[in-house]
Amino acid sequence: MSGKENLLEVADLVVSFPLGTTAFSGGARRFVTAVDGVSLAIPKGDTLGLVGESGCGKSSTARAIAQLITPSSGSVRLKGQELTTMGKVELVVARKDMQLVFQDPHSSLNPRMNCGGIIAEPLRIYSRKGIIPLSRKEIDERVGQLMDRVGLARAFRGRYPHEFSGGQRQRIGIARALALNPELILCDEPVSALDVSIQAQILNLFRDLQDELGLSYLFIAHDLAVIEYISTRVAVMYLGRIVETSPSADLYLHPLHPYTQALLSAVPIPDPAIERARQHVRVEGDVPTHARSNQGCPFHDRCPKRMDRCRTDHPQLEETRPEHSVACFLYANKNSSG
Amino acid sequence: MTDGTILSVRELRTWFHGVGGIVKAVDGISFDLHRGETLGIVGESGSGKSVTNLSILRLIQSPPGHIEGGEVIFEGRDLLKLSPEELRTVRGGKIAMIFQDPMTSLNPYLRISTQMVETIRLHQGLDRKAARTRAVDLLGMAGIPMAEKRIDQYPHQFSGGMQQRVMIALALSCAPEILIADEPTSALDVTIQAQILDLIRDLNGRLGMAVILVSHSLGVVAGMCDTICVMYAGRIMEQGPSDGLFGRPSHPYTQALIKAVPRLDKKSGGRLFSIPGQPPDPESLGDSCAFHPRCDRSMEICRHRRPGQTELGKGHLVSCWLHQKGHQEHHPEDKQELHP
Repeated sequence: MSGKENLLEVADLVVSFPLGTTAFSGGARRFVTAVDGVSLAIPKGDTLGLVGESGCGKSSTARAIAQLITPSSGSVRLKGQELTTMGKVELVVARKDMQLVFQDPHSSLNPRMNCGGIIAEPLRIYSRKGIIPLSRKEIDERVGQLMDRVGLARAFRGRYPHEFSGGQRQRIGIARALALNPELILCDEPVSALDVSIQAQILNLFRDLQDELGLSYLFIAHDLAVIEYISTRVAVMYLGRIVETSPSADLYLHPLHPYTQALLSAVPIPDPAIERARQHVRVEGDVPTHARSNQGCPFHDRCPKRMDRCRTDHPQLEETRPEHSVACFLYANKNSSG
Repeated sequence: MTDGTILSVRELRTWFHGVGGIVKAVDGISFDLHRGETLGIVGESGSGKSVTNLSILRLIQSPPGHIEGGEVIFEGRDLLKLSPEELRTVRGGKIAMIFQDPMTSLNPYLRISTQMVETIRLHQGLDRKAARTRAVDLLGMAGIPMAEKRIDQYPHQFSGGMQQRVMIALALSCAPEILIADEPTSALDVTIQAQILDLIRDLNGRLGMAVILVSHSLGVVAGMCDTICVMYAGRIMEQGPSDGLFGRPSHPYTQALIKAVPRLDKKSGGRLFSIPGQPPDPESLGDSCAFHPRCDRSMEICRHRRPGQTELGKGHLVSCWLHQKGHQEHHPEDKQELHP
């Protein structure tokens, strides 16, 4: 990693969900492992883009980092503090530095609270708990500042979420996330529900906030072009595992994992001449959704370059280019010596 | 390029009469679809792309919606004037439609076989056995492996991409001349999207079926379509062959839309271009250019009069005062260049 200090360090994170017992399973519980040994680090002021298709575990990773779901195992360290073993009270204090922005700005805002109330809520909670003591007037002033900051007119303070457009609602969600002056924002598909022209506004806002406030982001999206635009580093997830990670530019110039190559090749480019001339790498089939055997490379049944070994062995992430790691046997012999 | 027009939409207007006033969801749009052509309709939410296609088959719920005027000429007849019985032979038979969310388009209680056999028998008068054989063939053609086994499964046993393949097979069941695909891949992952787009492209080539592809993604239409219409607030801002439209985007909205998309093939330096403001409230649109409040080159006239279409090249039409001859001179204060 780079010389910068890591704000967030995640090691071997595992999240599994019980499937529930059925009359036929003989009482034995089965599990779906949504996140299967994910390790990542975000240096201060950086953006890590997490990309993958539905069901690959991106959201579960973010939620487990925020301790909204309890990880089955692994460690999550924010500013050097281990979150997974913390008590409730400690966690509330620690979580001040880590906030979330969600995909659907409609369902993530309480329809019965007005805009000012939504943005003030974290401040009120932390004030009530005595963690950040603020007077009502100070909270009001802070809400006004936050609305200015994200580009909402202060006059909208009394309006309710349904009176706002999708882009404006996302701005409310961002203002709420900024309320406690966090250092890290976990953004779970924050622009996926927005139209192109609004998406560009919100992406620019994320960038401006990063420049001004020195924020770090974990930015989740399924759109690779968005990820490339916003991220310093990118991690590609498939079925709960990170299959490739590298600095943003290098991933797009030198995708190594067959899945990354297919993913990049599937992104349509808005230019008919380029689109016609492109070579497409296609993968067969769908992402498997259900509990699966833990054997082999998670991508082997769809991979165009699979080998015998892929069915039985599980490839580990290994650095094949500077700061560029891939979990694939195609590149295994290159580092067998090192 | 292609032989003859198969569908011609002229001055179509579909309005919704709401409590707060009239929403002009589609307000005077015209385009032609040629045999074997793929036409893309691209626009943001609320621009009227879906309403346009629902209007073609008269699937608009009325009230509140009402087709106020215009013509949809298909095989020499105006679809808007057909009797319900006549229309039924066109819908599904000659013009088929697939939607964004395949799960809500399929009946969850019925096996795929039941749903397909029913449709095929209704439209083609085959007996049950022949219809089933045909259904299996169609599923295979739509890329569903082990079709003869999977046809007896229920929709939930299929993944999103596979459900969309079932929908395509259903749409193909009557060998339609036009396939209207309304955001067929928006609910799907990119790798699956690529598979479905490949399938539509392949069927378009093999069966010579014309396709209207509705999408919010410029990338999707760029790769798929021969001709593109860019819609905004119920109107077509610019339309033309896709090479011309992407090579020389001429409406400020088209230009902005292209610039606002982050792209993988170009190094993004600095900020994305963003269009200020939001799409207009369709109830408040008067006789003006719909884009003028957000346009960085709007002139006085844009506020008061709706621009007509100017032909820039073969089939390349733009609705913008900047391209209307004479208006530059009338407004010397607007020293904007036509092509930056």
